[in-house]
Amino acid sequence: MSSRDLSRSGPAQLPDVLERILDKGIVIAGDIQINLLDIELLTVKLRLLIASVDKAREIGIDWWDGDAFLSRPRGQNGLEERLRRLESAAGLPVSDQAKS
Amino acid sequence: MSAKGAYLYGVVVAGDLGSEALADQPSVDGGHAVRVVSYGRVAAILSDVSLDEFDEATLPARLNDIEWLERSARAHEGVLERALDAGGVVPFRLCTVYRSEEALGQFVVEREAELLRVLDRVAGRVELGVKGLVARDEPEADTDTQSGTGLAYMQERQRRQADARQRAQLIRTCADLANARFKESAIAAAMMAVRPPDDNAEEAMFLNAAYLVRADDDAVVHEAAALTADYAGQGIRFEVTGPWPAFNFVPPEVAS
Repeated sequence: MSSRDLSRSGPAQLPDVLERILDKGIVIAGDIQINLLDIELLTVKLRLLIASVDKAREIGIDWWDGDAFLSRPRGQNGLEERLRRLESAAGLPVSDQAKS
Repeated sequence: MSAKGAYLYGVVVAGDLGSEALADQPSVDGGHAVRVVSYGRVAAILSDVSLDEFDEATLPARLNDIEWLERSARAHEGVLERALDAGGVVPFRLCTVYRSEEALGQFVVEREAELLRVLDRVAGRVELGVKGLVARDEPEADTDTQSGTGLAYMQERQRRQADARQRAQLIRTCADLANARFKESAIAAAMMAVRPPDDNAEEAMFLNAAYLVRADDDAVVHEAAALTADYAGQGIRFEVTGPWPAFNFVPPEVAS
C-alpha cells in the first residue's frame, strides 16, 4: 500500500452511516421486507433523514434556496414546521406532533 | 430456542477475506460471530440472528429505538469496512435477513455473475463522501420594522429577500463548481439528498455528494481542502468522509 492511501480520521457520524445503509428506507434483498417509511414512531430526525433520502433532489436541492436554512430560527418550532412541510412535499401523511 | 435467520452484510471475492479477520468484529446482534462463507467464486459475509429480534413483526419497534439502531448500524458498517480494507465489497443494506443460511446461499449463487461484475468494478476503489457546508446567519434580533412606516418596512423586506437570493445563487454556483472539480479526479459521482440542519446548527449543508475513487488516490481530499481555502471568506467549507464501501455505486438490481 502506498503512503497516499486514504484513511479514516475517526468514527463516522451516525447520519452519514444511516443515509448509506438505509438508502431509501426499504430492504429490497432478503426474506424480511421492511419499509421504514411505514414506521410511524421513528424519531423526528430519522424520519426527516429517510424522507429526504427518498425524495433526493426533488426536495433536497431546495433546502437552502430560500433563507429558511441559511438563518437560524428564533423560535423552537422550526423543526416541527420543517417536518410538516417535508411530509407534505413527500406526499406522506402529516404527523400528529407537527400538525398543530 | 427461537428460530435462527442469516443476516447478510456484503459479498466479497472468495479468498479475499477469511472469518479470522472478523473474529473480533461485533455482529449486528452482538452475540453470534461474523463469518465468511464461500459460494463458488464469491463469498458472503454473514452472521446468525434470532428471528425473534429480526422479523417483520419486531423490526419496526427495534428500528424506533435509536440506541438499537445505532449499535446495529455501526456493527454493520464496521464489518463492511473490514471487508473494504481487504480489497473490495458489495455492501448490502441494514437488516438484509434470510430465514435460513440456505436461503441466503441460494440468493448469492443465483447472482454470482452480477456480483462478480460489481466486485470487479469496485475492486481497489472506495467511495468518498463530500459535504459542502455554509455558515448560517445569526438569528436576527426582532427589529422595529413592523412599527416603522409602511415604506421602510417594504424596503427592508425587499433588501433581505434580495440578499437571500444572492446568497442562494452564490451557493448554487459554488456547488456546481466544486462538483465539477471533484468529478475530474473521480471514476464516478453520485448525488445524495442534502440534509436539513438542526435548528441550532451553525452550518447548513448545500452539497452531499459521493465519489468513487482509487483507494490510493487522495486528489478529492486535496481538492476539498483547496476549495475550502478559496471560499473561506464566504463561510463555506467542504468536509470529506470515508473511505466508505461503494454504497452509491452498486446498481440496485444487484441487491434485489
